[in-house]
Amino acid sequence: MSGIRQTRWTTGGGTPRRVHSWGHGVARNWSRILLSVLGVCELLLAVGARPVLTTVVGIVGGLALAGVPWVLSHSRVGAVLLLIGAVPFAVLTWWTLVTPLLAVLALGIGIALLRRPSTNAAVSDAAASAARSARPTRAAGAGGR
Amino acid sequence: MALSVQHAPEGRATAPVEPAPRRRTVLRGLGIGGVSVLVAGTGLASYRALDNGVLDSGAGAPYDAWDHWRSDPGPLGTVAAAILAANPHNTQPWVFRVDQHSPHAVVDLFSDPTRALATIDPLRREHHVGLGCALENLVLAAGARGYRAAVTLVPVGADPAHVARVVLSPGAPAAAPAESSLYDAIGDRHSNRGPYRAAPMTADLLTALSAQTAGLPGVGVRWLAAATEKSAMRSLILDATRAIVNDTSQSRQAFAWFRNDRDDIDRHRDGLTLDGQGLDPVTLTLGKLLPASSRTAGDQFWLTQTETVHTATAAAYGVITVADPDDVVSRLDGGRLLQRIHLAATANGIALQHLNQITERIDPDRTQGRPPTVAARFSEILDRPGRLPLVTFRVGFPRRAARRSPRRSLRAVTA
Repeated sequence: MSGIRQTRWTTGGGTPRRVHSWGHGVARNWSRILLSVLGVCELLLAVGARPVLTTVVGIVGGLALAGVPWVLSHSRVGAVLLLIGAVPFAVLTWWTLVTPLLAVLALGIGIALLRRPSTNAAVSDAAASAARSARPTRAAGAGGR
Repeated sequence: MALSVQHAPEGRATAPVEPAPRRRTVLRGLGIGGVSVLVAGTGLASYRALDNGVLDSGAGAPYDAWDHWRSDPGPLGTVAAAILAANPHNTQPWVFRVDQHSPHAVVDLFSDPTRALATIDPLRREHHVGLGCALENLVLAAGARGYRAAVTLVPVGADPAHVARVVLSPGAPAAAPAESSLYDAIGDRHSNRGPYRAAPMTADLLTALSAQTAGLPGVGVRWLAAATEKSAMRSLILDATRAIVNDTSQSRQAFAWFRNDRDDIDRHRDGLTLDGQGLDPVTLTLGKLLPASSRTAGDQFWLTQTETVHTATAAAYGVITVADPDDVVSRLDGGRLLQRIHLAATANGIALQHLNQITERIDPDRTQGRPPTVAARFSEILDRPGRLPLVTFRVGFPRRAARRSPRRSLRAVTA
């Protein structure tokens, strides 16, 4: 979330500009948002799962998927958490079809995030804002990196 | 869209023109869009999985009875065991009245006519057999709780709904090991509609199951394990199934007792469910994630399962026989025997599924004045003069465990 918040604060200005900045922030962090949505989905599934071990694995995994892109991306720890978030719950509940699909998507999105040159949302967004200020005519509609 | 300025060779600036969309940007946009759609679909599927109990089959309030049936040591505990009995289409056609204040506790068992299957079971054959099954569980639970159970069937002749009275006296001797194993199997007994392994039912195994007739005069079990007998039964069951599917009133009634999703199960806590169909885990999940099937699609699925799984993998068929299937006492005793056989089978790792399509055609033939062609074919297969079929089932060694069926709460079934 820090990335989105940072974008809004650094651009400042009136409401249209702020809305634009919000949209831009969402666009820039879309992959992170998708991964977090998948984490929330895993949490949702885990809450209704049986037995308790599956529930616990699902909750831990869901929290890992939801949080990793915002706090620990582009690090080995982030990669490990991504695996912990995606794989064990899918293995335990392979027959549901939903959890393996969720795991494949989470790994795909997560790996793409980890392989980016710089994935610190706050820093990159601040840099992008500064660049936009310097070149206002080159609108920031290209969708990020 | 980013703009650029093109320069003429002479160095004069021309009007800005929009370049062709960059292929990479378009592909990236498509990729992000596609992944977003997949994530949205996963979200919807996750909600559907949560809502329809994909990950917690057999758990929650409708299934609590399977976890707590041993916990009450008193007379009410016998009812907790009784409601786990086999019964037609999981209609749970019973009402219990427990009187713990008289010198001896008394449990009265009543039929609930609102739960009868008017077109599938017009003579209430299965209805009474199900009540007999409940009675057997009740008696076994009484013995396990140290009660001596005195059973009177149809105690008040003028009240046909009052099917049994059980007087519980303290001081029963410890249950015999055989009875104890039947009691212990109550919580594990489920109708197994899945495929059975090719292993045959040996004569010894069938003889051991037949031993459950002890103490139930007038009822017996006929086993059909030879290849020719099984083939004849398969043919008759399939014909009867097709007839039921083609009989709109029977089809509609069967469909009315099918609970399509978890909301239905939570609301009714009865009826047949996807969990109880013996499906492999992936097919079961798909069934829960996809929209509910129509009546005709459900009928076709049932017919296919009957042909490719139920009759195709049956190791043997069993038929409970009596002298008079219209006699309520015979039906109740037949139900007790059926429950004992099912419990004994469960205790020995043998699966059992009720297959009553044949009698579900025999009885409507009688009530609607049609020629008794199905009854004649069944009598020929049974080859037991003087004995008539009451209910039918198949047995075998299961490939996968059966799942729980929902049950109404004790409060809902006690008057």
